[in-house]
Amino acid sequence: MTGLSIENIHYAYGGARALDGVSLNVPEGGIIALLGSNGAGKTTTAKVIAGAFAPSRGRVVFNGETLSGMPVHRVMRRGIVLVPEGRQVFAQMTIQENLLMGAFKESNRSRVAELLEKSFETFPRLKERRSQLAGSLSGGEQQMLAIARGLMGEPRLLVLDEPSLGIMPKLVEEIFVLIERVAESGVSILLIEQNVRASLRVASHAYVLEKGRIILDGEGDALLNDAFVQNAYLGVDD
Amino acid sequence: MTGTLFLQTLVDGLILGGIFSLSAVGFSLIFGVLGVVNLSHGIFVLLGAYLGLALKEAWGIDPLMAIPLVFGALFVLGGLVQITLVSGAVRRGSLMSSLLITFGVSLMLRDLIILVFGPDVQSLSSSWLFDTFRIGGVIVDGARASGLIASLLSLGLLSYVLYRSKVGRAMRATAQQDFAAGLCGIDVKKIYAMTFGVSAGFAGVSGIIVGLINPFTPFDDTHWTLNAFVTVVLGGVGSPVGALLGGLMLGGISTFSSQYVGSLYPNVFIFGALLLMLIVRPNGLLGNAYKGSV
Repeated sequence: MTGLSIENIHYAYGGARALDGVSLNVPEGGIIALLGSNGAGKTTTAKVIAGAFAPSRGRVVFNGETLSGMPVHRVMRRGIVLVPEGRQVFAQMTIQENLLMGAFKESNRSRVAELLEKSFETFPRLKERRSQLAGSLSGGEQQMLAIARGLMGEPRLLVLDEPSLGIMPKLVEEIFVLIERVAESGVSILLIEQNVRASLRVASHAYVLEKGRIILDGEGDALLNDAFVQNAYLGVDD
Repeated sequence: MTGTLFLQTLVDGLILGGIFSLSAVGFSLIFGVLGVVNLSHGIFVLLGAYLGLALKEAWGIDPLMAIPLVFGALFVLGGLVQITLVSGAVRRGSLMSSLLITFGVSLMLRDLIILVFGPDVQSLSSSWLFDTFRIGGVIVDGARASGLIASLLSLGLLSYVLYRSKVGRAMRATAQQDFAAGLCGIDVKKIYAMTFGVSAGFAGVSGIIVGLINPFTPFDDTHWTLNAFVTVVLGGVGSPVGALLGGLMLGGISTFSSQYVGSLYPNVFIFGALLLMLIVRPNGLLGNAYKGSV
C-alpha cells in the first residue's frame, strides 16, 4: 500500500515500556491525528517513525519499503520529515540558514533557491527577518520556522510533534490553518497533538494513544462526538 | 629604545599568539561540535611536526610546501580515530570515557613517535628561515613571519568553510542540535568524523609551524593540549575568531611576562589570566559560538 503504516511497534526505555504494540496507518494525502496525554508515547512513536529509535518488535513501512532500523538521515531522504517536539531550530544560525539546512539533501542550487523562494511566499514573516538569528524569534515564530525548515526537505509525509505546545492561542490557530494548507498542497500529515479539539477538526482520521497502546480510533468528526473522548480529553460533562 | 623593545615584544606576542590560535582551533571545534575534550589534541600537533620532518628528510620537501600533505594525512588519521575509538564515547554521551579514550590515543601515538623518530630533540628549521628582516626597529625572521602568515591564512580558510560552505553549515547545525540536524538529512556520524579530521588536520598544520620556530620532542604534546585548553577558555568555544582572540591573548601574556618579569614566570600569568577569566567570563571573551553564551 502507499503511505505510512506502523505495524505492532514495541519500544522500551531500559526496562520501562513506552510502546506496547502500536499500529496505525497514514494513507497518502490528508491529515491523520495521533492524540494522547503526556507520557502516552506520542513522541516515542514519532522518534520510531523518524528512525531515532529502533523498535524492539514490529516495523515501520513507507510506500512498501521497511524503514525501521534505518538511521535518521536516511529515513528523511525517503520522504518522511519530522518536525520535532520543542522545535529544535538552530538558534545560533540565521533564519535563512535554518531553511537552507532543511534542504540539505538537495544538491541542485537553483532548486534550493526555488524552495527558499516558495518558503518565503508561504511564510512572509520569515522573509522579513531572514538574516536574524533563529534564537531571537518567539516560540510561535520558531514553530513556523521549524515547519518551514521541514517543508524545505520536500517531504511526502510530514510528522508534526506537538506543534501547538507552549504557543499563544492566536498563533495556534494560525498553525492549524497552515497545516491544512500544507495538506492541500499534497503532503500527507501525521499530526501528533495534545490539543484534541483543534486536531479532530482538521483530521480525517484520528488515533488515541494511552500508556503505549492505541485505545481508540475513528473519523475526526465521530471522535469529536464520542462520549469517551468528550469526557477524557475535551472536558465536556454531560 | 624602550619603545622598540615594547614593539618587538608585541610583534613576538602576536606571532606566538597566531600559532597558539591555530594549534587550538581544532580543539575548540571538537569540543563545540562533539562535546569531547580531546586530550589527544597535542599529539596531533606533534604528529604534524614529525610528519613534516619525515617528508623533509625522505624527499627534501620544504616544510611549508608539506602543509597540504600533512593536513591530508592528519585529516584521515583524525577521522579514523573518531570512527573507530571516540564514537563510542560520543554515543554514550560520557565525558569520562571520552577523556580516557583520547588520553589513551595520545599515549599510543606518542610511543609510536618515539619508536619511529626516537626521543631526541628535533627541528624543522632550514637556513632561509633564519634570514631576518627589519621593519622600523623590529626584527622578524623568516620562520616567524611565514608562521604567522600560514596561521592567519589557515584560520581564515576555516572560517570561510564554517560560515560559507554547505558542509560548514552542517557542522554548525550539528553542534547546535544534533537530532534536528539528522532530521534535515545530515549524516551526523559523518559530520563528527569530518570535524575530527578537520581539527586534527589544522593541529598538524600548526605542528609544522611550531617545528619551524622551536625544537620539539615527543613529550611536548601535553604542553600543546594545555595551551589549546587555555586558549579556548580565554577566547570562547567553537569559533575560529574565539580561538584567534584567545591565542593572541595567550601569546601576548606569555611574551610580555617573560620580557618584563622574567622568563620563568609566564605560567604564573597565563594561569592567573585563566582563573580570572573563569571567574569573570566563564564562557570566554566571545562565549560559545554554538550554544549562545549565558
